[in-house]
Amino acid sequence: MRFLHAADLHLGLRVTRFGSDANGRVQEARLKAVEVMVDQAKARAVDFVLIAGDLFDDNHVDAATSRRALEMLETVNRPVYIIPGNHDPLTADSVFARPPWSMISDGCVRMLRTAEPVSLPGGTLLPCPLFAKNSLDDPTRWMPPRESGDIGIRIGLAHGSLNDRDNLPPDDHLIDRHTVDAKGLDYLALGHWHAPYRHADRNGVVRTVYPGVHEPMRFRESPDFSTGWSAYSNTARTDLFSDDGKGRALIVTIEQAGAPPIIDEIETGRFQWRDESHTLRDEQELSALIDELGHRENQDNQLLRLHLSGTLPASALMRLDELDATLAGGQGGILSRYRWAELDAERLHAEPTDGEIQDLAGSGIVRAVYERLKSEAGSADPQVQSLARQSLLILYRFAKEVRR
Amino acid sequence: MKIRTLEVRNWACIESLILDELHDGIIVLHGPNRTGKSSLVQAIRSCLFDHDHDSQKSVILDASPHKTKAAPHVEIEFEHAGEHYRVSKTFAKTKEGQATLERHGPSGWSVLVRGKDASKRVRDLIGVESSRAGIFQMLWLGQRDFLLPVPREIDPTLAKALESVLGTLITGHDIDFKERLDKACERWFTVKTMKDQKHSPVTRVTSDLDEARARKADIDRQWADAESALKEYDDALARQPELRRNREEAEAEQERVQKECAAVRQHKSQYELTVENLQQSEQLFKQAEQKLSEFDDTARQLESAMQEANNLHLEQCSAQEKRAQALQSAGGTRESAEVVQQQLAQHQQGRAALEYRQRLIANRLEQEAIEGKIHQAEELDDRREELEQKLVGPPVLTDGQINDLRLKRDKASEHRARLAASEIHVSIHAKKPLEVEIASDGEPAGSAVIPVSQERRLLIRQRAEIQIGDLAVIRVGRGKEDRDLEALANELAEIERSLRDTLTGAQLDPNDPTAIDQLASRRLQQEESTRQLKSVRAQIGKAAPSGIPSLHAQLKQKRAEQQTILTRRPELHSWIPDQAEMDRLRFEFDDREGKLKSDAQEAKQMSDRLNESLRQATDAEQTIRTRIAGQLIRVQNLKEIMGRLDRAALAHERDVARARSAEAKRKVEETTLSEAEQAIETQYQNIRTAHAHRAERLRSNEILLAELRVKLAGTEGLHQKRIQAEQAVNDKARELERESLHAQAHKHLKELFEEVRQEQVRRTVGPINDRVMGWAKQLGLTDYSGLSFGNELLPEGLVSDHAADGEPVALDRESYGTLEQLSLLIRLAVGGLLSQDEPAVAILDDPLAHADLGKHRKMLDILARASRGEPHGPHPTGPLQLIILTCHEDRFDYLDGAQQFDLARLIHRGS
Repeated sequence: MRFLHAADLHLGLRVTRFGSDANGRVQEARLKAVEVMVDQAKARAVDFVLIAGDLFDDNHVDAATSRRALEMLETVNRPVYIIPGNHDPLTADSVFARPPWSMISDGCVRMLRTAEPVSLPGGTLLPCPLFAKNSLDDPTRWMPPRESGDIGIRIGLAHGSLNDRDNLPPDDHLIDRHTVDAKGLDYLALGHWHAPYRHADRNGVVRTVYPGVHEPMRFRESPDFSTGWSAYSNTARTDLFSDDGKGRALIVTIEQAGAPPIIDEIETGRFQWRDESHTLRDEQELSALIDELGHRENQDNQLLRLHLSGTLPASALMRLDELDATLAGGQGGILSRYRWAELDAERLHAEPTDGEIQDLAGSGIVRAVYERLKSEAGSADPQVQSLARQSLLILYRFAKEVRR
Repeated sequence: MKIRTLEVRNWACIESLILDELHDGIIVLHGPNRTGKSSLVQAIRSCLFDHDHDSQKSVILDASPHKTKAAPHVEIEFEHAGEHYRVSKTFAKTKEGQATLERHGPSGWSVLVRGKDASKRVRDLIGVESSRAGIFQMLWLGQRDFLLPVPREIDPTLAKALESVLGTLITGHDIDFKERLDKACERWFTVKTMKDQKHSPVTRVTSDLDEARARKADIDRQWADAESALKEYDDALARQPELRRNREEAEAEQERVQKECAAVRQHKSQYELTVENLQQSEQLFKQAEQKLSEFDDTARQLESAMQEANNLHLEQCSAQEKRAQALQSAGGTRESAEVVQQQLAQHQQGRAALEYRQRLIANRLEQEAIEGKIHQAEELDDRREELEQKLVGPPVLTDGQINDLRLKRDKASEHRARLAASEIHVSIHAKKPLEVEIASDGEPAGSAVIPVSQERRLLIRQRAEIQIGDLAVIRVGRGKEDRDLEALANELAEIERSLRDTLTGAQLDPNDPTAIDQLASRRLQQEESTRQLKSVRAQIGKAAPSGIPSLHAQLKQKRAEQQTILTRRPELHSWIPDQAEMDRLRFEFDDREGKLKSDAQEAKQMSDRLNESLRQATDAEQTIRTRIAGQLIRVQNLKEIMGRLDRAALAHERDVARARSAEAKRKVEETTLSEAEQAIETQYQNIRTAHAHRAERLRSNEILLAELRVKLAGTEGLHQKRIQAEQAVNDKARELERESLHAQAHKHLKELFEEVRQEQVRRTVGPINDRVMGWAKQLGLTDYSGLSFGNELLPEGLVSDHAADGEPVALDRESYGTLEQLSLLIRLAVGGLLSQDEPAVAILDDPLAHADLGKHRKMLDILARASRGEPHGPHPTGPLQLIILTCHEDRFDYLDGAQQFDLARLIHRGS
C-alpha cells in the first residue's frame, strides 16, 4: 500500500503583510504547490492521498479558492481522503457544507464527514473529522482497537496536537501519544503542526507522523515577524505552527500490517522565504551585495528580508537607493524586482571622511546641522535616532545635489 | 584715516577755502543753503578717490567756475596708518592739470608719486576703489543717502571687510541647500510657517488609513456576527429535540381533555334550558304583582282628590268676601283726591297776576338803563366835538420832516463855523482919514472912508483888493483859490433858504431859534388830541352802538310796553314796582302750591294701593275657581279607571304566577353543573394554548435555524475580504509611517537649519545688533528686541516682541525720521567695527534732517560716543572722525568738544 500524506495546506492563507499583489501571489503559490503535490502523487503511483485537515485556512474562504482546490484534487484520479481540521471544521458554516464540496458524491475526492471506518484495498482508514475549532475531546477516541484476526493495514487520519509534551492547551484536540499502540494502527497520519514531526511507537517504529506544510508560510529566521496569519489554537507555543522554510509532502509505503512504514519526503514548496543579514565594512562589499542581489535567480518567487549592518562612508550609504529607493521617498531599486523585499538598514551607519563632509556640507550652517544630527543619531532614544538617521540621509542627498 | 587739512580753490562756487588743523572727533561745518557744502563734499570725494586730475567727467567739468574757467584745485592732508600724507590735484586736461601724493617725513614733504598714479596710490593705501566703496559706502553720506543699501548693492569690498571682522554669516552652499530643503518641504508643509499642508501626502494617507480601518472594522463586525450566528445555530440545534418533545406531550393531553369536554357540553345545554324557564316564570310573577299594586294606588288617589275639591270650595267663599271689601275702600279714596286737584287748579290761576308784576319791575329797570346810556352818550359827543375842533389849526409836520429840519439847521451851523474859521480878517487903522475902495471875493468894489483912530475890519474868504486913494493898492488873498469854501458858502445859502421856506410855511418865524422845537411840540399835541378823539369815539360806539336816536326809540318802546301792562292789569296802576315785595309774594304763592301738590300726590297713591288690592282679590277668586274645575275632572277620570278593574281577579293572577316560578327554581337546582364540569372548558382552552405555544416555539426555532443557515451560507468569501481589509490597513499604516518619517525628518532638518542659522546670525552680527539696539534704547525705541538679518551682514528688519506672527518688521515700515536715525545708527555701528585697527572718516551731509529736537539731542550724544569708539567694550570698536555739514548750526551747538567752522565766513565765493 502506498499513499501520499499531506496536511495543513491552508489554502486561502491569511497573509496581510506584503501588499495586495504579493499577498495574492503568496496565496497563489499555495495552490501551485498543490499542483506539484498532485503531479508527485501521480508520478509515484500512490494508491490514494490523505489530507490530514486544514485544507483551507478558514471556513469562510472565497468560492474561487474552494472550487480551484476541488478541481485540482480531482485531477489526482485516485481516492483523495480529506478530513476537516480546526481551521475548516464541520460546522454549519463549513466550506464543505457549501457547493461544490456539499455536492461531491462518488468522485475521487472523498470528504470524510463522520468518524467511521472506510474500507481501503488491503486495509481500513479510520478518519477523525473535527467539528469545532477547539475541543477537549481526543478525536481518535472513537477508533475501535484492532480486532483479533484482523490482518489488514489500519491507518488513522486525524488533526490535533499529539499529547507528547507539556504545556499544550487542553482544548487543542489533544491526541493520545499511544494511540497507534492502543488502536493497533500501522500508521497515524496527522495534521496541525506545521513543522515535520515523527513519533515512534513502543517498539521504536515511527508510525505517528506530521508531514509539515506543503508550502512555507513564514520567515524561519525571524519568528517574531508577523505575516498576518494566526493559528486557531489557544496555544502560546508558536513553534508548533512554525514551518522549517520548506514545503513538503510524504510518500508512505506499507508492505503489510505490522511492517514499518517507509516514509519518503517530496518537496512541493514554490516560494522561498529568505531573511538575510549582512555586515558591510566598505563600499566594495556593498557593491558586491548589490551586484549579487541584482543577479539572483528566481527573484519573482522570493520573499526577502535584508538586514544590513556595519559602517560605510556617506557616499556609499547613498547607494542604498540602488537597493531600495523608498528609503529616500522615491520608487524602484533592485529589491523591487523581488516578489517582496524589505530592507532593514537601521544598524548600517554612515561615517563620512573629513574630506567627504567638507565636500558635502562645507563649513557653514549645513556642516553645523550635520554635526547636530550625527550627535542625535547616537541617541539612546530609538525615535530620536530614527529621525536623525532619516534626516541625515536627506541632508546627504540635498547637499550632494546642490554641490552638483 | 583722518583728514587734517582741506584746501579748495576754484571748485564750483568756492573760490577759495582753507580748513586746517582738523581734529580727531567731530567737526561741524555749518553754513546756510547754497554756501557750497555739497560742493566741498564732492571736492573731497574727487580729490581722494573718484577722479584723476585730467578727468573729463561731467562732475569735474561742472566744477570749473563759469566765469573764470580757472582749473579747480583741491589739496587734502590726511593721516593713515601712522603716516601723514598730502594729496593735491589741479583738475585740467591741459598742462596746468597735475596730481601729487606726498608724505611728510622728518625732512618735510616728499613727493611719492605724481599724475594718475597719485590717485591710484591713494586708493590702494585706503583699500577702496571709490568714495562709495568699502567702509565709505557706510560712512560718507550725501543729503539723501541715509537709507541702507539693499543687499545686492552692498559693495563687495565692504562685505569682505565685514566678513573679515565678523565672520561668515551664510555660505552660498547653505543658501542652495536651504532652497532645496524648502522645496522638498513643500510636499508636506507651508514654506514660511511650516504648518501642515492641507493636501499633504500625510493627510491623504491618514484619511486612506481611516477609511481602511473603518472597512476593516466593518468586516470584523461581520466576522463577529458570523461567529455569533454559528454559536446561535449550535444552541438552536441543541434545543430542537426538547422543543419537539414538549409539543408532542401537549398534543396528547389536548386529545384527552377534548373527549371529556363533549360529555360536559350535553349536560350544560339541559341546565341552560331550565335556567331560561325560571327567568320567564319570575318575570310573569313580577308583572301580576305590579298590576295589583297599581289598582290599590288608584283607589287612594280618588279619595284624596275628592277631599281636595271640598277644600277649594271653602277657599272660594273667603276670596269673594275679600274682593267686596276692597271695592268699597277704593271708592272713598278716589273722591278725596278729586277735591285736592280742584284746589290746586284754582291756586295756579293766581300765577299770571304775579308774572305781570314781575314784568313791570323788569320794564322799569330797562327804562332806567336806557336813560343812563343816553346821558353818557350825549356827554361823550360834546367831548368829541371839542377835540375835533382842536385838530383844526396851523400845519403840522411829520417827525421825519422835523428831523430833516434839525439836520439842516445843524449842518448850516457847521458850515457857518467852517466858513468863519476860514475867513481872513483884515483890519485897517487910519492914522488920518482915509478913503478906501474895497473889492472882495468877487463882490463889486465899494468905497468907504475910515475916520482917524478907527478901525475898519474886513472879512475875506478868497481875496480882496483895497485901494487907498492913490497911495496904495493892497491885495489880500489866498495863494490859491479855495473852491471848497466857495461850494460850502453856496451849500449854506441853499440850506438857509430851505429852512426859511419850511418855517414860514408852518406859520413860524424863521429867525426864531425855537421855531423847530415849536413844530415838534405842535406835533406832540396833535398826536395826543388824535388819540383822545379815537378813545371818545370808541366810548360813544360802546354806549350807543346804533346811535343816540336809537336809544331814544328803545326808551319809547319800553314806556309803551309799561302802558300795555297797566291797561291789562288796572289794579297795578297804583303799585309801585318793588322787587323785595315781589319776592315775598312769589314765595308765599310757591309755598301754597307745594302743599296742594303734596296733598294731591298722597291722595293718588292711596287710590292706587286700594285699586291694586281689589285686582288681587279678583285674581285670587278666579284662580280658585279654575282649580276647582281641574279637580272635578280628575275625580271623574279616577272613578272611570276604578270602574274598569277587578281587584280579586288581579290577586288570583298573581298567586298562579308565584307557584310557577317556585317550580322552575326547583328544576334549575336539580340540573346545576359540578365544579369540575364547569372548569373543563377552561382546562381545555389552557391545554390548547400550551400546545399552540409549544408548537410556535418549535416553529420559531426551526425558522431561526433556517435563517442562520442562510446567514452562515452568506459568509463565503468573508475570510478573503477580511484579509484584504487588514492588508489595506497594514499597507496604509506602513505608508503613513514612511511618509510621516520623511515629513518629520524634513521638518527636523529645516528646524535644525533655522536654529543653527539663528545661532550663526547671533554670533556673527551680534556686535552690530548689540551696539545698534543699545543706542536705539537710548533713543527711546523700545518696541524692538533686536535687528533681523537675512542672508547678509546688514539688517533687513527689526524683531518685535509684539508681532503676532513673529515675523520681523521691515525697516521701511518705520517712520521716515526713525528710519533715518536707525540707518545712521547701523552705519555708525558698522563703521566702528571696521575702524578697530585704523580710524575712519565719516562725512555726513545734512544728517538728521527729520529728527525732532528731543531725538536730535540724543543722537548728538550717540554721535559723540561713536566718534570716540569703544576699544574696551564687549564688542570693541574704533574711533571715527565725523565731519558733519549742516545748515542748522544751532542744532549741533550741543556737541561738547566739537570743532565748529562757519563756512559762510570761510568760503570766498566767486562773483
